[in-house]
Amino acid sequence: MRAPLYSCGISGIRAMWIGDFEEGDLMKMRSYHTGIALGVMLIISGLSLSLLGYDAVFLAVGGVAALATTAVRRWQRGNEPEKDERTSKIRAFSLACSWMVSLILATALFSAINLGIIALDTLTALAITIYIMTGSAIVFIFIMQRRGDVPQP
Amino acid sequence: MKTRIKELRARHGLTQEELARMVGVRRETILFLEKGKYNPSLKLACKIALALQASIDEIFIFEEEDLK
Repeated sequence: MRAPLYSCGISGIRAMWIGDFEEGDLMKMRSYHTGIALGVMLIISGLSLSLLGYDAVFLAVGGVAALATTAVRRWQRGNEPEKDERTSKIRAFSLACSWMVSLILATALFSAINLGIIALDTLTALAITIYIMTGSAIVFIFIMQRRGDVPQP
Repeated sequence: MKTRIKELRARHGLTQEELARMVGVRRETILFLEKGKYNPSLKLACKIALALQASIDEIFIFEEEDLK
C-alpha cells in the first residue's frame, strides 16, 4: 500500500527510505520542499540582514512570494504530477526562446550604451536584463502552454 | 494527427484524470492528446496503448500531411 504523499516524521522518512512512494510523488514532494526551504531561507536572511541595518527587506518579500507560490501550486495541482514530458518540453523550448530574445536585446542594449545613444548605470542595465529574461520566459511558457505543444521541426 | 483516445477511454469507462494517473502525466496532457494538439513521445504512446488495451496505430492516426 502506498504511503500518503505528505506523511511526515519517522513514517515519512521510512516510506521514502524503503521506497513506498512512487517516483512522481517523490519528485513532486522534493519540488515542494525546495520551495518551502527557499522561502524560509529568504525570509530568515531578509529579516536578519534588516536587523543588522542592511536594506534587505526585498529578500523577506521574495521568501513570502516563494512560500505563496509553493502553496498555490500545491492547491492547484493537488495529486497531479508537478511536471510531465509535455510541460518539460514546453519549459525547455520556452527557456531556449527566452535566452535568444534576451541575447538579442542585451546586444541591442550594449550597442546603444556603447554608441552613446542611451546612458545607463550598471544596476539599471542588469535590472533590465533580469526583467527581459524573466518576462520573456513567462510569455513563451504561457504561449506554448496554450498551444499545447512546441512547434514541430 | 487524430487520436481515438477519447473513444477508447470512454469504452473503458475511464475519466481523463484516471487515464492521466495511469500513464503518469497531467490531465491537460490527455486533453491536448485527445484534441490531437500534442505529439507524444513513443514511450508515452506505448503507455497509453497499454492502458487502453490497443495498439499504437489504432490510437494515433497519422495522415499523409502529418508525415510531410
